[in-house]
Amino acid sequence: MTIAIPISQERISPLLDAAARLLLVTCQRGKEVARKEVVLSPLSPEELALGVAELRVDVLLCAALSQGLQRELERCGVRVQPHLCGETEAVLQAFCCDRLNRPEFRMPGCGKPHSPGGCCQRRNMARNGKSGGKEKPTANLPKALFQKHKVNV
Amino acid sequence: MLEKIHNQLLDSVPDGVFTVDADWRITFFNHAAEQITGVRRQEAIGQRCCDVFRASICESACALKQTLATHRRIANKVVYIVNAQGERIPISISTAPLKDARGKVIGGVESFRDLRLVNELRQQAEQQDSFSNIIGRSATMRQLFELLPPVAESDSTVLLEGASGTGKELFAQALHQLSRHKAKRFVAINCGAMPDTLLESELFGYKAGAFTDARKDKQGRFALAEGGTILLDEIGDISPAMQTRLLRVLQERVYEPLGSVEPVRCNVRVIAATNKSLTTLVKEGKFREDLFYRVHVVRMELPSLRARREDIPLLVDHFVARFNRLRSRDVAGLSDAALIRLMEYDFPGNVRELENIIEHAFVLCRSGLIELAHLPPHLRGEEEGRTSALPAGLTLAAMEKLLIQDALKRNQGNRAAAARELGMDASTMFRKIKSLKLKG
Repeated sequence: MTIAIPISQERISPLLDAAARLLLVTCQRGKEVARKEVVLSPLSPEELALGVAELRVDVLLCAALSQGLQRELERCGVRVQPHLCGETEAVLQAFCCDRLNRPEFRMPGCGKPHSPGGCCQRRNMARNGKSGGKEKPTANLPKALFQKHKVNV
Repeated sequence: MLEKIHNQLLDSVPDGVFTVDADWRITFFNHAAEQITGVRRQEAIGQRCCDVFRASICESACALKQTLATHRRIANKVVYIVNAQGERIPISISTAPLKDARGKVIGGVESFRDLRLVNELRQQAEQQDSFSNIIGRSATMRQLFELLPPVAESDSTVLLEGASGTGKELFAQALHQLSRHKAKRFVAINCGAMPDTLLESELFGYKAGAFTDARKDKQGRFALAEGGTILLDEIGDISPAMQTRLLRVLQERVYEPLGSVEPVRCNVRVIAATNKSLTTLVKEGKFREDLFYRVHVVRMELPSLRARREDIPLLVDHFVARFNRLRSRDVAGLSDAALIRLMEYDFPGNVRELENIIEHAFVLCRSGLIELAHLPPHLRGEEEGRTSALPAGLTLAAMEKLLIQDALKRNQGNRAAAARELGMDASTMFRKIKSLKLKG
């Protein structure tokens, strides 16, 4: 399985449409087997989606992206998990443990109902060390997975 | 209390405004910012600005970062953001540093304007300044637009005269679309590009066995355009023999396909176009006078682009919007310097050349404004030449002297022509030549 994440300074790049670097992590049987980075030049949504699909990406974890780009990616068979934020390694680990729905990984204005105590407020509370929101029970972490590996650029 | 008033004031402005602290966390987010980004204030406050703002420059060239690093304001930089609904929104942003009472920078403020409304207004204005896809608001173009409907309604043969790239085919298509022939086909053929025999078979078709390899009948362009309109482009370039054949079609509305003895009747609206002056060709004996009068029923002269320079910004906007659509780009337009350069240029290739220049710029410019550096080399080169022709440090009087000398040289010493070129009165020119002690 190949996971792609647009990155900027150790974090998920805020906007996929304008991202400059894409981290590709390949896992087999729950273990990270390869990691590389590709440089993205400014491309149209169609070109970018085709480029990502050519990298044989199974799932793309990203922050914001335009509707047009999301449509193109899905048309190319790439599963997109959008509206994520945070540090790259933490996001990768959370993806692996199925904990990406935790509030600290959701972007502001993520499209969920804005009720008092909604996801963004829960995130703020989480950041401030207060408990907030429901959390899925933590899965057993495969510790070998997604630890810092040598990056092949 | 004062802060509350400030917040109310900022909530009432139509532009989005937010402030950040030294850690790039949002500390203020006004009502318009909520509307444009689709992110509510309570969600935005305390977040990293890039996670809320999601602008095309957040990662590569953050304007706030530049402002905080240099303490300089940035004004009206055109970028796009992706809002919470995933829509790309073109905006113009301005940034400034925020300082405390001691003048220490404690953060930054960014204001941004939704350009969709501006673009909508521009589109509406463009619709008012166009006619059947022909763009122009100059007096000559408006006169032509007024002429189009009555000419289209009549079935008269039309002669379109204009230099290459002035839009003769667009006008012909507009005439077809506005005419009663519009349900039928519009067929265009460039008569200048073919030798006689080929042109004849293309126009009138041929019968099987008319010549070697003619194994079956082939319809000509006149047959294809039956009931519709045919555009005979570059009619000034056809040979005398072909002129005779065309004259018969225009006079009697019949023709014979190659290899046929049966005349075919045709009902086709004929539009002829040329980049030459048919009157001159008639005088020179290169174009039949009787054919000239057959095609010269209604004549429309299309102006060159340099004769309607006021339409250049409109055409630029049109082509930028078109290439943005075709290439999924967000180019905002031309910088002032690039537009000035185009306004000065003579466009020997007319509108087609302008279109090519914008297409060239789109190859080099992927977003923001098209700058001088994105224009083709011959346009950039002249700019460089122009700059070097007027060395830095000249006084206004010295510059005036140089410009007048250049204009006189270009006009072979003709003072009146030089004055016209420089846009000054002839008497002023004479006075300046005398006062600057120039040899005119």
